[in-house]
Amino acid sequence: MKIVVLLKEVPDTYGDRKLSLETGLADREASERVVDEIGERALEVALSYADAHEGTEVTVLSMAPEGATASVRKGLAMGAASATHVVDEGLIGADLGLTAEVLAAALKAEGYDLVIAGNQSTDGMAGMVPAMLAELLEVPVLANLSEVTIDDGRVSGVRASDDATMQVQAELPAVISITEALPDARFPNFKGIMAAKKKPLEVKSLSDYGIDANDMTASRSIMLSVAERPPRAAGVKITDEGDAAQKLAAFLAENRLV
Amino acid sequence: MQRNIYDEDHEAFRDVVKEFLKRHASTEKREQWERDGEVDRATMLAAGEQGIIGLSVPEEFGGAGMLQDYRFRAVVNEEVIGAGLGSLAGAFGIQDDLAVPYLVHMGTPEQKQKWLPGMATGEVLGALAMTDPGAGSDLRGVTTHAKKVDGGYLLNGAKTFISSGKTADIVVTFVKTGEGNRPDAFSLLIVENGMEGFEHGKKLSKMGFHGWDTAELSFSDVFVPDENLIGGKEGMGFIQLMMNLPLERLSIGVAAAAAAEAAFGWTLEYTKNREAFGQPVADFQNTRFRLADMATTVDVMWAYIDRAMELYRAGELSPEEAAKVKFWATEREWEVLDQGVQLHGGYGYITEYPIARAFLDARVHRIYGGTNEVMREIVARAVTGRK
Repeated sequence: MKIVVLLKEVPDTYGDRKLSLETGLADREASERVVDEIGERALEVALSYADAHEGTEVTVLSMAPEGATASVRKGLAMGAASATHVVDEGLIGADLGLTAEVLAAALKAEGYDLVIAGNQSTDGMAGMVPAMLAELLEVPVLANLSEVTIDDGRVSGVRASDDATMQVQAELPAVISITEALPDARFPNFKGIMAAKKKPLEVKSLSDYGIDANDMTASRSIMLSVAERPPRAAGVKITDEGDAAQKLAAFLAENRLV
Repeated sequence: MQRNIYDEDHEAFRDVVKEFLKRHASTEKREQWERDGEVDRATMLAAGEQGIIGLSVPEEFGGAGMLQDYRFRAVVNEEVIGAGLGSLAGAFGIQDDLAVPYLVHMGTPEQKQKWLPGMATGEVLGALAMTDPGAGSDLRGVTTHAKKVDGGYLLNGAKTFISSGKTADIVVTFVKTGEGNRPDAFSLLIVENGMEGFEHGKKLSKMGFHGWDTAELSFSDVFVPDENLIGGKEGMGFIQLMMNLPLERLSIGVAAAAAAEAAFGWTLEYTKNREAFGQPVADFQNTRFRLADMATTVDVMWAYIDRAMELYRAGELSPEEAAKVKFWATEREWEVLDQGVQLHGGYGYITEYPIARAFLDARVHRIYGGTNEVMREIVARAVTGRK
């Protein structure tokens, strides 16, 4: 059984997150860069399965800029056996479609039985990549799982929606994405860090997969302009002098809010 | 000033320590340690699990094998002290800097096999007992006595000011095994918890380090078997102690620099946010000048201590160089912390604020590990060549 976990490097959720107004991209220098926590949880799902099932191979796959090696290595320090890091100038600002295309190509190249991802990143928050991947790989996807069970040849789990809880399952190979309901991830220890240095970390580029980032026949989202959000204007303060209700109603009506 | 002794492994390990603190060292935990006067075992075991203690234990016994490279320990000190957790840093330090090294450097193969694996995981915690009630810096005045009997020693006497003395499972104990006060009259014995006649006296109530135990130990006819004599050879205790003192003193210097750096950070933050007379305290010229002094002192401390760590790594940190580091760093630490408390105003005196706790913790840095007066004597002897 080979499980591939998708890891994404993101600006620290608890830090200052900024978009560069020149490029429209996340300003990677504005805050510390960390492995997305939901990705760590996905890795935990894979590692705890591997702990209990000998012969399970867990690897991590990340599409990230050059400076993200430390984040990829963290996946190795946590316990993954090897890692693939896809880096390419052409991927800067890649949209969901291109991201999924690259990840799918990487997965096809290295092989997998199960792909585990977080349900959405804390920076982009699109939540679409797992489904797009499954589409490209032509395998089933179980998205937003709050419980996961991996059996021989099958993955199942629970997906909670606003008004229903669904039991879902799929034959492997498959792609799943998990939510924050899954347990906290382990964190590396000293030995993990030292062992990670000796584990294989392959760096790949677009040419390895024969993908053209500027292929104009594919539909791509392109950032046309970026502007700082205007500062919030001060609101209207209504002081109650016995007529606050009327004033509130008038305000709502005037702004077409009722 | 940019420091250059760390590489990416140390930075990755720094993240481990930070995450450990986030998960295992909440404010509630700290308050619990302070109420109990000790760090709970579960926390020490969790630290063992992450390799935050056991750094000095050789790899073959499950540790990191970093006894001769203090940089990982320095990262632990920086992060733990920087989080306002001096007591936890102290408990970690005793294990790695004061207990483990005696077994690694001088233990017999059987002693290493018996205790080091547990010391790497935190299942076995150690302490070092040198000071008698009547003799501290003056080690040759120690009267705690071990009389040779069949198959071992009969130990009588008392030790005091023993850091981690209550929580430790084994205590490396400096005892007199011969007559007079010649260096070869002393030995190190491993006294184990539960040995008959070995009692822990009361936990001492201290000015600082409230979450870290300091105990009195008493020994009445405690039978200690021969196999617990460190190194297996009698009369080596004094030399064994001398061998580890440079590390002990370096470790205090590192803790001092870590505390000074943390104090500067807390003070900078506080004075920027606190307003007085209509402006942030940090904008008053006095504050600005003091902050400049503090920042510069911290830089110089690290430049000096980083150099000492490099010398130690190369096996070249002499006892007098370590003594210089210890007294000089702890005195700069004191100045920086005192200044930090002052700039915090009344809040600097409130132990909810890390600066107040660090200030109280710091006072003993000038006393333990050999008083700063003894340190100056060691340095003076070396520079004058006169006893």
